[in-house]
Amino acid sequence: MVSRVLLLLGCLLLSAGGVCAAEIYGQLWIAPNNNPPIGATVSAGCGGDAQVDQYGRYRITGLASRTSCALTVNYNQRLSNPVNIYTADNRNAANFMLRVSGDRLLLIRR
Amino acid sequence: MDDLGRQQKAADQTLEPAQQEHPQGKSGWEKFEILSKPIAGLLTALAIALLGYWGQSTVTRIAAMDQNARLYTELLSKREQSESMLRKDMFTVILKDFFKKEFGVADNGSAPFGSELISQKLLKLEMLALNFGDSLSLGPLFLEVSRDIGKARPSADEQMGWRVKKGALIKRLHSLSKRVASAQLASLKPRGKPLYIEIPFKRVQLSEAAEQGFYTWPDDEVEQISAGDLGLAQELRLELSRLTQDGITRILTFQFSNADYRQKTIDVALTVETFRADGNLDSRAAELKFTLDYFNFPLIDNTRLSDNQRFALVLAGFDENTIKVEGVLFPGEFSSQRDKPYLMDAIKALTRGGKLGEP
Repeated sequence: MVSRVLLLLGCLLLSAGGVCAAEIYGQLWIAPNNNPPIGATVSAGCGGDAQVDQYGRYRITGLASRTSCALTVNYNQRLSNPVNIYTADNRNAANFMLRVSGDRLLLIRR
Repeated sequence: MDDLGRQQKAADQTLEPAQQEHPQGKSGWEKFEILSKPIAGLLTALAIALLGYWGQSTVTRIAAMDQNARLYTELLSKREQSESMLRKDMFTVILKDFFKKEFGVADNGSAPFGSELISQKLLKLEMLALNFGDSLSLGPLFLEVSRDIGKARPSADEQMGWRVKKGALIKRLHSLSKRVASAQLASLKPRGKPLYIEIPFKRVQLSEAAEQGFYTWPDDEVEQISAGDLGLAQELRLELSRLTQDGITRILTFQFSNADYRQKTIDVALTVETFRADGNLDSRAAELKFTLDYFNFPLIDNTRLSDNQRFALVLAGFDENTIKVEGVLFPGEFSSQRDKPYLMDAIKALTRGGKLGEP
């Protein structure tokens, strides 16, 4: 009986650890030249943000699994439209194209 | 006597300049002529010898290269031959095993499969898919195994944890098909134009209701981004759906519906419009309807378009929230070995003076 309870507790602890194990990663380009938007920051509505590197790559870790996260990008003092990414797996790829239209910054999934 | 002396003196004076000009009796040009003859002969002989040596060494080098090339080709063809034989034997054995009447199955085939048998079948399918996935249409075999897993019933000692075992078998089958499809897609993407679509599952979920939901791409995605800006929507719609490959521009639009979470399938209606050389859209758009599942492999299960081009769609992910679909428009010569271009396309490519698929 004791071993069963311990096993159950162990399983619960393991699954609790898994809740915060997801990450969203990917690459950003800015249209029309497909250059990396250096200095851009990607923010996840479900917690966490990351700055893109010189190649336009980003990685946001420590996100809750199986949650819909609204990603927004802040670039050149403009905030993009949100795009929902569902953290179905531990590692979730999301590549985007950024496009400036008037005074708006558009975030398009590619 | 004085006259004779004077004449002698005069004769000596006339001879002196000639004697001063040819002190030893031969001029420089004469000496050069004498010396140059043997030197010229020697140089000619040397040149002929050098030419002969160079010619001989070139011929020897070319012969050695030829021999090496022949040896290399022979080795390659032998290796290819032995590999083909091995693959042929392997294919025959696995396929024979695959269709063999299963152990423990009744004559009418109605008896259920246990997880052990399914696992064995999966192993054979893995061998087939990983070795012949690029040249054979293995979709039907995947479907068959999927159906077998669905029909599987636990044996007496498998009652406990049967659902977990069954789930693991389905996961193994899906992960194999995803592995094959993603490998094929990865090889095609650099040679073609990729496409990525995410469909909200709730929008397209298969339901009993009379009104079935659907997701239209790129319209629905554009609507979300453009937030009512019609000019921007028009621009984005064209930008997202337009793919240009080898100078041929096509507009691809999709309608997704009837997503079955249990079977992991979704119905797709695809329209491919092509721009003519004059910049107008061709009135004869290609329209297709098919069911997309994990067992669609881009090298095999693709749509043949004009100008020897292909379009393939792959189910990249399917969860309770999102359905991920990846597509690629690519030249026909990168399709599987069994896929051959239409004769007209081949002739067209040849008359263009380039290789197949060249604009």
